[in-house]
Amino acid sequence: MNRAETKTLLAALALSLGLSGCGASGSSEDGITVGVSAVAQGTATHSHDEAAAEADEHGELLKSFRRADGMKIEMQTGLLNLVPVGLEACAIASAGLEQLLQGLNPLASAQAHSGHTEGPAGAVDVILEDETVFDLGSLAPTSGTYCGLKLRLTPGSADALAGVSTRVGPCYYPDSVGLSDEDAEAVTAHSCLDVATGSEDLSFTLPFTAPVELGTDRRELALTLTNRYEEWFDGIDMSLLETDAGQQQKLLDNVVAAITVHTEDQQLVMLNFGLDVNGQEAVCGETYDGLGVGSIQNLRLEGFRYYLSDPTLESDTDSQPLILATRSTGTVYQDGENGVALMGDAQGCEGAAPLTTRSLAGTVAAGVYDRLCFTLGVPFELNHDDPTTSPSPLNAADMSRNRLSGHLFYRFDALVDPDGASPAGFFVHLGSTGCSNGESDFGSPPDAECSAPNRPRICLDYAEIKEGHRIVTDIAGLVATTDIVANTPDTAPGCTSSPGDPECVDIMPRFGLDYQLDAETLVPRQEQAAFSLKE
Amino acid sequence: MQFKTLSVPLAGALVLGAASPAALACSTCKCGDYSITLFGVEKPYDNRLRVGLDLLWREEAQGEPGVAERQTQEWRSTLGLAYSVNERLTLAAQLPWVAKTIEDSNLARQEADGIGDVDLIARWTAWQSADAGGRHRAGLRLGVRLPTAEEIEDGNGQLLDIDVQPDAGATAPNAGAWYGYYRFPWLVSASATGFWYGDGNQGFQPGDSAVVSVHTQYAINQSWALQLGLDARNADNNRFSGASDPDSGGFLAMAWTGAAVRLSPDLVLQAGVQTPLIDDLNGQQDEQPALRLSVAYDF
Repeated sequence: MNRAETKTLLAALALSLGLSGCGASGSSEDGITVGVSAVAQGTATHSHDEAAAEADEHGELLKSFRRADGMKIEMQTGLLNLVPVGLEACAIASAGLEQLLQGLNPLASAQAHSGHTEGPAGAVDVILEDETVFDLGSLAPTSGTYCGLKLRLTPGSADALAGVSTRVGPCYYPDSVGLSDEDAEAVTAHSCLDVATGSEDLSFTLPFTAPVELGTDRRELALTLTNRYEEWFDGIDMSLLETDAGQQQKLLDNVVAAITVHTEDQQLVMLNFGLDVNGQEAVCGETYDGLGVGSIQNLRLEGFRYYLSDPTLESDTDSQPLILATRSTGTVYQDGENGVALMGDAQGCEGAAPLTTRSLAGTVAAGVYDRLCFTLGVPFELNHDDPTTSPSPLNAADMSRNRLSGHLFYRFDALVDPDGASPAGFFVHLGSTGCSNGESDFGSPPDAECSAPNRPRICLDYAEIKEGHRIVTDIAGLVATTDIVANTPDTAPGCTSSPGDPECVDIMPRFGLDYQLDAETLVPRQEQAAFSLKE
Repeated sequence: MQFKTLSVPLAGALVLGAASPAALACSTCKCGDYSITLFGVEKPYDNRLRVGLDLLWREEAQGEPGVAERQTQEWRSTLGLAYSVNERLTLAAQLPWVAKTIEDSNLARQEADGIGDVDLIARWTAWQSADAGGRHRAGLRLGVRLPTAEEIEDGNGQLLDIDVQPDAGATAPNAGAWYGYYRFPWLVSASATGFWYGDGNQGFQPGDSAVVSVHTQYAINQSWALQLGLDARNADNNRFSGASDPDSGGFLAMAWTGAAVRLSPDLVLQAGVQTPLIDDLNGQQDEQPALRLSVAYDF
């Protein structure tokens, strides 16, 4: 080998060694990983041990709750095969998820409680204790900005979910519809079902409340799916659920509509509500006593509902919006700017079937908060839209006056002394007044905010709410110094927010609002007495 | 709060598994006759001892672009030694040193370098034409790939994916036939070899494959030659833990364009590029052009 050959070979060898390095080595750098887990979540109640799973008389696990019409449900089986498929890039519009329900015709033949059916590995079992975490695996998306999580309810391959995505075992109490909790508890006649459905994939997308950017700066994301199983049976004809494909599809739609997703930057908030009349649960048609200061203090409830909007969680240094989860019943509206919920008896006492909003769910930026605040009323931006074309629940019957005045924010209707010689109506209606469009055209919105918006901001202790205390409005607090029989001539019975009504002098300030009795008299607000927390 | 971890998700395992980078393993995607430098396209002679060094750079992508794609870059440096016992029988061994980088579409990145699987090959001339120079020659080749590949870990002691490992670590007996035509200034070399793979590391089993190479060399003068060729590979799907990888295997033909220069009577330098010509690979695979530089010295 001559010198040139030696040089060439050595050069090739050196190049080879240079590329190879001096010894075996390895390194790794994690990519973008999105972990997905699921939890089941009912409405926590203070007396209910954080909505823990209960057991029936046989020791079987079950979840007990009341659906939107008040029907008591005891669910013994609740299994889902829920599969995360991918993230949805923000450039692609996410599929709509709102499914509205119609029809409420309960009753079915009786069956005995058959017990909790355990799910196969991988299934989300909502019968287990609330907040039990089910690991649904992880996704490895590319870098980008994402606005939703794509999921599939897909048939399982084994055990209770063989060939189906969803299996539920509710026992339902038809006679409990519209009753108070106490009376509903006493109802014993029930029927039990075992429904396995979802033999085909059902794909859907859950939108994020805010875009999530993943890339070199953020490679990990944890997503939590919350299954609000208490909404699964809303609007379902339970008597047909085992046999009718349409009802089973409605069940699947409800299941999908009752799932929300949040990131580790957010926290789930569950709120429990109540309506009382003088400390007792408000039930349509019931008569209550001890209201006001007059000689007659009894009345029969004819309707009780209110709008709340733009809830926030607050501390001394922070205020974060609570993004509301929409419901299949159409009682919650949420857009990019505003969230509105119609609470209480959404259709009044005259509706075809009871529809009561007893709880709200939402997500908020993770943090430590002292107060839950919300506006009693509809935001001005939505208040004067055409109710015939407005989205639910802003289209609720009897909650809109006209476009100029907007919605009623708080509506209590009653008949005073219903069994007496001269029963009389008594109303507490809260809404904006002093609205003007220059033409007194009640069919057109005002030119600007009304002179008396009458939207009180209510703030309550969040620590107690987290413990499961209910947010209760009691009409007794508003009429504590009112004679519910007395009425000034040429004014509406009770108080309908109109200026110049002497009966409003005692009521409006108790909403936390100033009240203009006349040009010279502004009655100052008091500490609000409409809402309080109750165990 | 109670935490329940489920070991065997139902259908989720299938859906997520499809996106699992581990299922995209491809450690045997090399196309063509990898021993061509060592054996050469010229006729061997008695007691020829040849040392060869191959440098190969290649790049490929597997999986759905923008969704679950894995890009692989590979430097393969193969040191070979071939000894011609006589004109008819040549024995050879090849030791690869491999440096790989894989990057997934989710920005996960792994790098590894180390020793790959060693090849032992015997090439036998079974027939040669009766003319004076024996212009046509043909024979058989037998070999075995040994599972010598190192299993590389990252800095935390975690075993890296099979995709980034230097080689599959699978025993692969192989057999084939070759043909050579020698008439200056033309040289033609063709070979076809089948590989039968056993189980490799990490539950990975490369798909059995057949590689075919046809190379033609035209000598411009005594020092320089131009090369054209066709390298092809047809492979079964790889298997990972018993599951077939849909984004592996299939047929790929690449055109070889190169040049060789004889720097001295015993030293030959070759360089060229392989360019995909026919791509019928399974699933989502994208093979990029490969560069090759090689040097061979005869003692």
